[in-house]
Amino acid sequence: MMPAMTQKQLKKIPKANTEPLLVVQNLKKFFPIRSGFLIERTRGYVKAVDDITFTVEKNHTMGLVGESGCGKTTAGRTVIRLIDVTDGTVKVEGTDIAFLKERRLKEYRRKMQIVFQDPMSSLNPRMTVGEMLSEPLYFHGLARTKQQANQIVKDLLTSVGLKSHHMDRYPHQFSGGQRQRVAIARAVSVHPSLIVLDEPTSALDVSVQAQIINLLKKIQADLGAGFLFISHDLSLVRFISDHAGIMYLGKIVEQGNTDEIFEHPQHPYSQALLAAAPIPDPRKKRDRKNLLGGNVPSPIHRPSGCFFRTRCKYAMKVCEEVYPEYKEITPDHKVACHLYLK
Amino acid sequence: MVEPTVPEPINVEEAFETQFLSRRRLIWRSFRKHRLGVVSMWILIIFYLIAIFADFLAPSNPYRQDLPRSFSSPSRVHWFYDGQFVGPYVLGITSYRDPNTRVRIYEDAGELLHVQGYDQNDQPYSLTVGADGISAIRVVIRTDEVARGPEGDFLIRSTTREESMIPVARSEMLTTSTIREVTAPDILSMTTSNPRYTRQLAQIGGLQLIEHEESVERLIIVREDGMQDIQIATVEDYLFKRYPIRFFVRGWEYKWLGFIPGDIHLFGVEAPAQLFLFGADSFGRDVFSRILFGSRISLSVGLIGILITFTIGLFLGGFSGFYGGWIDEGMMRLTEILMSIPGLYLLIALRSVLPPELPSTVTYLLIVVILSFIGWPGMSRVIRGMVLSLKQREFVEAAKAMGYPPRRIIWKHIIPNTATYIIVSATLSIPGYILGEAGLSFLGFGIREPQASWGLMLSQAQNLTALQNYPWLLIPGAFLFFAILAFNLFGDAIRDAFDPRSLGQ
Repeated sequence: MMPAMTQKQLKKIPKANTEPLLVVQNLKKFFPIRSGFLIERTRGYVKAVDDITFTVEKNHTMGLVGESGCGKTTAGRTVIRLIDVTDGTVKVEGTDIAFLKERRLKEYRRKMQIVFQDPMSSLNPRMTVGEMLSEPLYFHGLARTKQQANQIVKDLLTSVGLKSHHMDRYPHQFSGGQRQRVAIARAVSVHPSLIVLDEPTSALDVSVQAQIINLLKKIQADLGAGFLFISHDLSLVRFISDHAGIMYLGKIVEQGNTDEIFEHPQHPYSQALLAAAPIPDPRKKRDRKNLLGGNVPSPIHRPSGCFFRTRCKYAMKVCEEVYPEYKEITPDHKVACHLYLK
Repeated sequence: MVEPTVPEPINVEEAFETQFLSRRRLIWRSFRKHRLGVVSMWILIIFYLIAIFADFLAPSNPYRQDLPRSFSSPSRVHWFYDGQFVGPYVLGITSYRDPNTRVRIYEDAGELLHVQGYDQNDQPYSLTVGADGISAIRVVIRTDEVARGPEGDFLIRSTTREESMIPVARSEMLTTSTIREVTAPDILSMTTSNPRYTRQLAQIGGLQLIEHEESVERLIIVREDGMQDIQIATVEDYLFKRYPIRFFVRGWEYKWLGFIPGDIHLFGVEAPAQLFLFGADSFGRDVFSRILFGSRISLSVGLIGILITFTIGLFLGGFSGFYGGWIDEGMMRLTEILMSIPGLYLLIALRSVLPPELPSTVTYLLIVVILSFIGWPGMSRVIRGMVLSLKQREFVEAAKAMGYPPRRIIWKHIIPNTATYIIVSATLSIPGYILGEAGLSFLGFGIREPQASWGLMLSQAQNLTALQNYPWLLIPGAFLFFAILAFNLFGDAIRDAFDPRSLGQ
């Protein structure tokens, strides 16, 4: 857990003078539920990602937080087209790649990379680290000869904090933190503009987490890349993100400037989440009033209207009927809650 | 910024070795630790070398029939003569039919090379083949059989026969008469010049043989210009002709690999002696030579068979597993249909579609193809299952995110992770192919006479008579056993060696 944050100024976010790196608008990903004996019929949909909109600038980190099952992982994979898009637009450097055919998509693949949560299964156990890192180099034409590739691989390894002789090792010969470094090196090797980080430190020890996060910041500074940082660890997201979005059952309920959201959460769900996060400061009293009860409803049968209403202590009649629209409370701070839509 | 620490290697030597040994050396080092695997590897290397060099290694022509030598027992190799070490040699062979069991019994027999003694006129004689123009010395053996007649009388039958060889076990007949005591009732068939007496005897039944006496009566000396006859009284000394086993001899002609002619063999004996190291089969062919030649077919069927099966299985299984959808569904239904047909009937059906009189090489290839055809559906289903599960792994998604085309992902990322299964499956399948070929040959659908394959040779050992009296016919089974065992152990060792987890240790 990151150390307790003191009062801070709002992070200054440089005004984007170029086109944003990633513009996601009304992104939807529905998984059909098929069942049936001989003939399969679609009985419903799991709306894993339901109409989310956000932007990621260069040199900029967007964080997505939420509990398990809220759809943030699906969102991350859909954005880089590992999963097909059901609806919406995903603009990478200006081009909408949401429904691009695979052949044309190929040139964009290089620009978007992903680092996964589990370092062991994200590395091919049958390839050495050197092979794993040099393969994209050959494929994308970043290296032609073996010497070139080896040199680049060695530089990559040292830049993520490993030694160059690790090239000939297999993934199982590394610790978890080292494997994650390899995964990061692989993502970085093709100089992407956008990197999706799907809970990159959740499987690691706390001390290693800090190292990896620092490494990521360093890489962002070197590459000037935009990050989409997905996590359920609130303090981590707070530390690393410039903007953040809090997701619940497929929708973003609150998003905006990170410090603003975390200092002044407006949505009842955000408040409950932040209240539940332990603060390692014995002097600060726990806010027990806002603790969240109940369970997350099944994503197949979401409650009508605003689906947080089943656990929300401010639930009103209108919450049952209509899903609230976004309201910009303060600049760069949007909430979807009927409390603010009166 | 926090400096990341890299854990130090546990011992310097290990670090040195993993740092500086190439991957191949690592795999080899890991393989060597498996003693049985290394032994099996050598056994297999030897077997395959035998298959390649069968022409050179076989002392006898595997197709040459020698019916008088049918079911000959393994040749006895002698090392000593008269107490002296003279090197390995064989003698001639003669045979007789055991009157009780009707089994032909072969025994070592010697041709006379030298004989000396006194004839009936008390004159000394000394004869040596090769001197005085003598080309051969034959003997006339007189056999006296004594039986008790139906009225208690003694009946004697004397016969003489001319032989070129004398059974070594009874070579005392040269110097003394040998009297064989009869312990079990022998049936003596008596013929006399009087047919009425014969009929009378036949009505009573067989006669009980009491004594059987053999002695050498006369010597026949074959000279270039004619033959000479000596009635002998005693034999003082004699020598049998020995056929030493020589190395790198000129023997029967062959065409190595089908087109390189030659006639040198690793070892062999001069004609007319024969070296039956593992005995002879029903046609009098040397079993040892046939085993050497049979290894070609039996061992290669497995290799070629799995090559075909695995190529098809990997390709189709990987394809359908990766793409899913209609391709996958269709492929699975097809494999299910193929797998539901009983293998044996499919084999027979496939084989009977083809004309029976095919040249042997074509038959052989067809057998391999048919066997592979039976095997690929199972293989592709398992591969498809593995591909399905591997597809979910994140390194495959990372490969997709990197933009690799599906073909590359399947072959470079997914399939290598099925290597463990492939290796084990291969080493388990090869014996299946070998035995499948044996089964086909047994049913007459595979390799036929006069070609040799271990399976075909085993099928000839199938009856009780063979097992009881000619156990050497089962030796191809021992070769099969060791080949199959070696494949299994070798496969185990290879699988462990290729597992990246074992390389570091």
